[in-house]
Amino acid sequence: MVNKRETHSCDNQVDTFAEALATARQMQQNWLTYGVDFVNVYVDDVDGDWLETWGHDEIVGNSRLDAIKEFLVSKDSVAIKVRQHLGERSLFDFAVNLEESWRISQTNDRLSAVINLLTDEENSVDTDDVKLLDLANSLLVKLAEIL
Amino acid sequence: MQAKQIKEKLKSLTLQASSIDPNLARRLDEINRWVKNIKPGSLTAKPFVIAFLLEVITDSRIWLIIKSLPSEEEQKAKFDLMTPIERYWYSCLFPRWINASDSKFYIWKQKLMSGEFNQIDHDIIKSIAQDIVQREGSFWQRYIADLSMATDLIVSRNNQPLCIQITSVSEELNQQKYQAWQNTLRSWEIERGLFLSYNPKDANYVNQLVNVALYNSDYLSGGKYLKFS
Repeated sequence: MVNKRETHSCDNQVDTFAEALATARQMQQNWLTYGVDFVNVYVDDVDGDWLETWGHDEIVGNSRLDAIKEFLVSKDSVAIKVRQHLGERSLFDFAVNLEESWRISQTNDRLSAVINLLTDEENSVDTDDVKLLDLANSLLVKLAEIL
Repeated sequence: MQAKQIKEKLKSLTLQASSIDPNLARRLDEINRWVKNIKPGSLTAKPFVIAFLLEVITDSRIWLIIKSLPSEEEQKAKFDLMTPIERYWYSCLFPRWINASDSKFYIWKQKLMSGEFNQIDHDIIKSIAQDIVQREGSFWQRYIADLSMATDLIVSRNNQPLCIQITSVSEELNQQKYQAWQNTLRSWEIERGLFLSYNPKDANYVNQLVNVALYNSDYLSGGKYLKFS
């Protein structure tokens, strides 16, 4: 029984992979035929307002985001540390992304996501991993209190 | 599908990636944020942004399937199912892009919006790719390679992928562009590259460019960055 199930799962994997690779190849073929217009093969409304409204569902009427923004500009010691850490980076972008990370259900994944958000790629050499982990943890504890 | 479904796909891949490959998750998250902040300045920008997103989604899906396999042998078995040029992309360049701190990532928005994706260049690149296929060579075209790695096409005839950049000879800054191209290739540890200048007045230039590209894909040594005009 176990063997049967394993074989089945392996077959599925092969199928998924073969299908994904076939999709990539077909996409190249479509690019070769149509150039950038190949996108019309996959997407019905390329010229629609999708780009203008890309972030709307996350920003408009989002009370959780409002709570996060309010917290980030507050006098709370963790909020102050976050602001100091972010320096000149956009607090609003950080809030939007933090709200997204909060939706991740797995605790460890959520922590990694917040660490990633706090990491400044351009100055990654100077980043102190322990401090970053502490800050991400404290931030998540605070969010758990307010959300 | 509707364009807004692309965003859903991107988000679901980001979630999936967060446990399999956090660096990819971060990349996809960056892309989502980047698209959110785009202020479309040109009518031609949207198809390019969609094309870029479709490619990223397709490649990430393949990468996550491979990366979630438990052993190196199983991962290798998947790479073995690819053509050499696909293997070069999926086992070398794409993972490098996932893991790199790509300084050019932040200027993509301007590039995409300012029409640096010139339709004429784009058509020439497509013609070259078509000619390569007719002559039984193969190619791989990726907007990531174009935007980050100064590579318009990866081409190959006998299983040795070569990164090429194509540029018009009339450009005044040709030499500077060549130098920047070389530096970019080195920074991505791309071993061989070909910088092709063409003269649009020459009626036979596509044929010539393809000859040079295919010949060098066979014979250019590693560590060489060749300029041909």
